Amino acid sequence: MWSCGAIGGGRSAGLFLRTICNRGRDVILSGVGRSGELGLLVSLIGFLITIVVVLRSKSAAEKTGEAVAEVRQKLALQTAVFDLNRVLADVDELKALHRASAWEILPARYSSLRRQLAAFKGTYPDLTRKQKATIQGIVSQFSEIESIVEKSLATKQTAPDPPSLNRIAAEQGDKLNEIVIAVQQTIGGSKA
Amino acid sequence: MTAEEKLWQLVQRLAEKTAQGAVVWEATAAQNTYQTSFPQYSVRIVELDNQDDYRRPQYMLEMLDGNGSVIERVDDADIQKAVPQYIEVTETMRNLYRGARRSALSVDSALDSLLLELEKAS
Repeated sequence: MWSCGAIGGGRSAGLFLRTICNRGRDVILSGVGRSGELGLLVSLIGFLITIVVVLRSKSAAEKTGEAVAEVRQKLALQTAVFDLNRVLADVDELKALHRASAWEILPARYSSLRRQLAAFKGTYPDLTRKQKATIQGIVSQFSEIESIVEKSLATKQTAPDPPSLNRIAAEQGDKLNEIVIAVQQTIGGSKA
Repeated sequence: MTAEEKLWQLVQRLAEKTAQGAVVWEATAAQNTYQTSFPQYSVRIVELDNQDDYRRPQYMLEMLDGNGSVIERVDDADIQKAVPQYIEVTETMRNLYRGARRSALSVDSALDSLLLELEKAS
């Protein structure tokens, strides 16, 4: 004989299912002599099975939704790492261009770098306040370097000093690298 | 409250927080220029030569937006004009500049280290 006490599925749904289950048991216990009652019982059992299947499907759909959200977040993080690595490569290229004294083409590169960083800071939601401030600082540093190079190009007097520019650029690269590592750790730490 | 009055308030708070070590500054590629950054904006403090009196440098504060563009630039004389009741504007900006420089160059740590070395030497 069956027991109806183990039926779950939420407070109200569980109560409803237990009621149906108890009714079915009563019918069987009282003797299934009449075909009408047997038909009712079969219908109730079918209904019961349908409800259980629906509840299980809902739970599976919720789990799928959670998994999709997690995969989406992970993809966003991987995109962030990709973007930051590209900016890091740009910083290294800037240092090489400083050494080569390629001043004419540098202002456009600084602007591009600043735009990329500003966009990243604006769109990537999981940055901490400190990381946002660090990126803001990097943007401002390259803005200052751009201003120095622009002034030098305009006045055609003293050329900028590559070692001093590269010292600042290298510091910014290191700070950016710390953020890349932190974001990568976030990916490693998130559930698969 | 006018923009200059707010800027004066900003200078005072930055000077206080810098003295407490709560605001950290960094050197920039430009001479005598230090900057500190917050999530949306950066602030620079600059010491400039005074053409009229070389013994009394001027101090300039700049605010930069998220793209690194300078959105405000004001010097101690501008602020002093706006808040004539506060006679300590230049002194406060000088203190802010010195604090920013010390923070950026880690002068405090260097002093601690030197003092420790001298203690060991004696």
